Amino acid sequence: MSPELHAVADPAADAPAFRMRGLSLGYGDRAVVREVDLDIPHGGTTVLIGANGCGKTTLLKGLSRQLKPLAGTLEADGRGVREWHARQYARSVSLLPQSPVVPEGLTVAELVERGRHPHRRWWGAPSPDDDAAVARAMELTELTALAGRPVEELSGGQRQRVWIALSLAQRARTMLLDEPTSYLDLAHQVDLLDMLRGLEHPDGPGRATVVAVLHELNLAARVADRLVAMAAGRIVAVGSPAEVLTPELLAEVFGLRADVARDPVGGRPVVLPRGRAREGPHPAPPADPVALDPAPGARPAETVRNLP
Amino acid sequence: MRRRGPALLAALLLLGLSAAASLFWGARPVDPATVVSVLAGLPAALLDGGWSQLSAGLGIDAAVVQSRIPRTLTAVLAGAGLAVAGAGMQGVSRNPLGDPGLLGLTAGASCAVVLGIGWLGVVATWQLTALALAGSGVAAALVFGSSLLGGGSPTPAGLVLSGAAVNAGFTALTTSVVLSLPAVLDRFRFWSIGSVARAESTDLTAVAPLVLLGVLLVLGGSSGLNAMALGDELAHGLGVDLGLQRVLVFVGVVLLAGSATALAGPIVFVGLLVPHAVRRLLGGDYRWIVLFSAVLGPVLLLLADVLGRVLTPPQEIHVGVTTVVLGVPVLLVLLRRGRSVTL
Repeated sequence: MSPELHAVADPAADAPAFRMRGLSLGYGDRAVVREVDLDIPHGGTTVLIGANGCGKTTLLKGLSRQLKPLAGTLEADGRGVREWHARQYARSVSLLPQSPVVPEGLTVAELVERGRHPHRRWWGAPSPDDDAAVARAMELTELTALAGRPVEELSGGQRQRVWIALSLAQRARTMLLDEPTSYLDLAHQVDLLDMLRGLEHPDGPGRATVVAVLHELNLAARVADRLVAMAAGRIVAVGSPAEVLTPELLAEVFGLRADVARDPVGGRPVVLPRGRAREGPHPAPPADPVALDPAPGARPAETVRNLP
Repeated sequence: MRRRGPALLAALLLLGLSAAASLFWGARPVDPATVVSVLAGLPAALLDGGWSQLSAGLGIDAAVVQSRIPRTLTAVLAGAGLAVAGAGMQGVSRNPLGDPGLLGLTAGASCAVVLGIGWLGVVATWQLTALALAGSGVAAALVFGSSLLGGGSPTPAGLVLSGAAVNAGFTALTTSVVLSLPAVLDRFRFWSIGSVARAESTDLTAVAPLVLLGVLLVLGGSSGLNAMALGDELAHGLGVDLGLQRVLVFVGVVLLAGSATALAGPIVFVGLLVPHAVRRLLGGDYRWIVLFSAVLGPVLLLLADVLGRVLTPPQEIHVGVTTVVLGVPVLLVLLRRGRSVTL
């Protein structure tokens, strides 16, 4: 079969990573995610934002097939997710949950190697690409020097990088990451997100597909090709960071009174929180920046009191 | 890198030495030459007319040696069964205190044996063996059933909790029967301490395939246990069928714990100690933990049995006691050596 024919014969060639239509997800009968219509395209970084408990993690659980849809349809690469074989799906879509369990008695390299599970044959027999994939994953997360260390001895941030390396070693085209920056210092957060942005499709041209839940809005704006804002289980806005991060939307989604500025470098939006947008008692907003602009006579009483 | 290949060879060598010690050493001193001659005559005699033919026309020494053969085999089967069952339980419940006792399997077996002695008037060893197996099976069915009631696949915590409940129930039943029937108490005391000396060759041939099947099931599931050790969500993301893997390992654990308890009584501690020791020495890969447990469980039980025979001759101490005497210091040393005990 010629390549052209093959391309025509494959209807899923340019299907999105995920296509959701009327998708509801939840636990028991209680729907947490309600009637979501959303396409997540391949080859970019999509970041889910929203207040605590709005259904971001539940949506990721749905995308990773841990929850059966209560209603609606969910397709991955053009096929209903229930039609996939578990291992095949794991080679195509990887998941890093919020709080994985650190097993006893494993070194960093051994733990990262567990990400190779879906590529292995019966009884975990090594597959030929294991070593390269594990080495590459540890290099990307700067863990090579720690390869022989027991995971139990690592700091929280180092462990988090081990989990990310495990997910990378899985070499799935689509990575689902639930708060991947937890425990990381700011420099490592930026490192990680830039690394994810530059990640390549493991077996083809173009970029890998990343779907991440992030809480730090400014980092989300920095890394995301598309932001998906959720509130109360529904999708409120989808678009570029500049389209989504507006004062109106922040008030609606987070109940946050905020200004949005432009980053002088790159022009991405920067969120400047001012306080709660809701009615009712709340702490006074932070003091006005008087110290920077000492207008004469602005606050004489305080100035006098502070004098020796 | 961890040197697992040489370690496995060393473990197998240790197994060979322990088995030899169990055959050559005992409460009654026997000339090694007699042992060798009995062992050398074994294949021919078995081909000739089976086990019963063997005892005909032998001296006392030879008969003693011959009695050590099923005893050694019992220790090997029960040791492997208990240790691998413990490894499987620790893996599937993600609980380092995992042990077949945790699922109520041992309590179920004890209860069935007590009821058999008390009400059915059971005498023969094979009947006790069958009862113990049945008791473990009933306990397992109860634990599975009650953890399935909530719907969905059983979670590790759910299984351990229902195991604790079933365990408590059977223990209470056993205690009440034993207290109300003093005659039962006398026989049950001996059964409950655990011994590798009572199983007969017919029991061994009946139970050996079950132990083998159980070891294979847990070994087969050990690759999945590796992924499940990372938490259910991540294991699912790695493409592991959690329900299938759990059932596979649990059925193996039930077979192993049931068979081992049936052969040797409720010997505690082997299932806890051996997988733990292997994990400390060789790391947390369950494929190796299960494999090494299958070799080192018998070593512990054989050595404990030999110790019980030679410590106070001509009296013997039951293996259930010597296992703990031998195992506790080993575990404590290992825990001291380790950096920390993470639970």
